[in-house]
Amino acid sequence: MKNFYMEGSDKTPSIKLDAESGEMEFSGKSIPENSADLYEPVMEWIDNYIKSPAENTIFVVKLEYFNTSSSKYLLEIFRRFEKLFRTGKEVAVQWYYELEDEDMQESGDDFRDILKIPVELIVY
Amino acid sequence: MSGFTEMELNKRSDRVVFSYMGKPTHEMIDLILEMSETKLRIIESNSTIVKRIVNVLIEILQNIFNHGEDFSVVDHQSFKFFLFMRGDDYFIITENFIKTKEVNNLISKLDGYLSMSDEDITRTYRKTLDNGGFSIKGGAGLGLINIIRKSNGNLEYEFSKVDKENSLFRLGVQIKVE
Repeated sequence: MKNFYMEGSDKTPSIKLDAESGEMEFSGKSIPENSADLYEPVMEWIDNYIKSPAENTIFVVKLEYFNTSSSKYLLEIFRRFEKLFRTGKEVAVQWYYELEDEDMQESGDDFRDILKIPVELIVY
Repeated sequence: MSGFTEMELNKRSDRVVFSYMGKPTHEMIDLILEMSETKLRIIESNSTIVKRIVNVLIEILQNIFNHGEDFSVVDHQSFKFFLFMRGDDYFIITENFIKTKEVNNLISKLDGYLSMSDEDITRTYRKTLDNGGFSIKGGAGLGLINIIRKSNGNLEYEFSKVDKENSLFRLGVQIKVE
């Protein structure tokens, strides 16, 4: 399975999805007007990844900003990993936020509250 | 809840950070965001506050684009935007057109969210994120809740009927700096 890489822009995140290592990362900004265009191909890749996943999947989120339509897609993506988690695979989300950025910390808390996979909040 | 009381711009005493009046385009919205953030980073040393304001700006401006009236059919002054400071606090005021038939629904949503405690608004945000599904316009109603959450409910609004079909929606949001 091919890895998925996408360069970030002023409005879209840098996306790295590595099928072999199970390391996934979103970083930068995710504030597109049309989140579907950005995230549908990512969800398709993840649906394929889940069919033959790595033993451990780590999803790193280092976002500076994201809009609410991106947050819906983030949740949909995490939901897919939740299914993987239920099959016994190791899955974890690492949610990074800058020191004193209580809003981004709160967003990490939101996902931790909703999801049934481990969400680790990490200051950087 | 409806009506502006505190948040009118006082051109003599308030310090305008950025303002725009005219026809909004995607390019203009991007420029407002970029210029506002650049200016905020110069005048505000607390980066958490800068990010909070920019976050609210993103939600407000994208909300207007997703749910506002088609700007191409109304006049070229169809959109107004002010970001200003009063004391240490920041205020965002926007004016845009919406369909009159959507006004009551928006009032009921706004008043409902504004009557909630901080805990309830967080609970509602999480519930909507979890269960809200995807709306055609992308936001699933989360945008409004997020604006109210980030501003701790310091929000005022008013509607005025322009004609049978269109109304003017004025929104004011205060970001307090503790």
